[in-house]
Amino acid sequence: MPLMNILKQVELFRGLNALQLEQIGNICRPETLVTGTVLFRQGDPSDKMVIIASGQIEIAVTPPHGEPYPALYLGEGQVVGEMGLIDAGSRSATAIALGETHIYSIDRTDFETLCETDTAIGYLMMRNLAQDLSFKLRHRDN
Amino acid sequence: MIYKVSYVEETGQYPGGIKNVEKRPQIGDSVQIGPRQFQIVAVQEILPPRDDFQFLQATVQIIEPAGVR
Repeated sequence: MPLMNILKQVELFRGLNALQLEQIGNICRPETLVTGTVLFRQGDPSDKMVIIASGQIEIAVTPPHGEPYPALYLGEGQVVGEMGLIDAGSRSATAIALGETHIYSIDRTDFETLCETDTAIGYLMMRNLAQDLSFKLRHRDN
Repeated sequence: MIYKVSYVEETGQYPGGIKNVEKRPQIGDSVQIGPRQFQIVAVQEILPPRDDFQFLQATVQIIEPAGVR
């Protein structure tokens, strides 16, 4: 599926017009992950967020003095690792590919530069990121 | 229309999942969440629609353990 069609199906980019989506497309880097690939580990610095085009990512949490456990599975159209781009904190969980998983990653620097250069994109992306985090909180509370 | 679905396992024993689907989930549909297969037993809207997106919660029950990992 062409990148533009994938981006249109991601809530993070809701409200962006074709030109704005093209700008997003310019900073997206495609990757294919095989089963078991660790995208990032809990405690790592946050340097990018990831959009899942197909496949699944397991989000696993390791409590202090405990064993890691799967907390959530994210599939098509979901965003992984966005918290770190907002608060600059370290990764709060480990993200692992389940099966072959196609992703697009957006580097922190590219994301911040785009949002600062085009504040209309910046507003829409931040609004959508907040709504995505809200949705995840509602999921967790159920 | 794109359906952003929060899949919640009914007993709370298994982690749920979130994904976008193009077809509205229906009771009786099967869905893979992580390494396991589940069946949908309830669907409800959890937020008002925005543009082309609808926001749903699907309650699921496990069908059988799978062996992806």
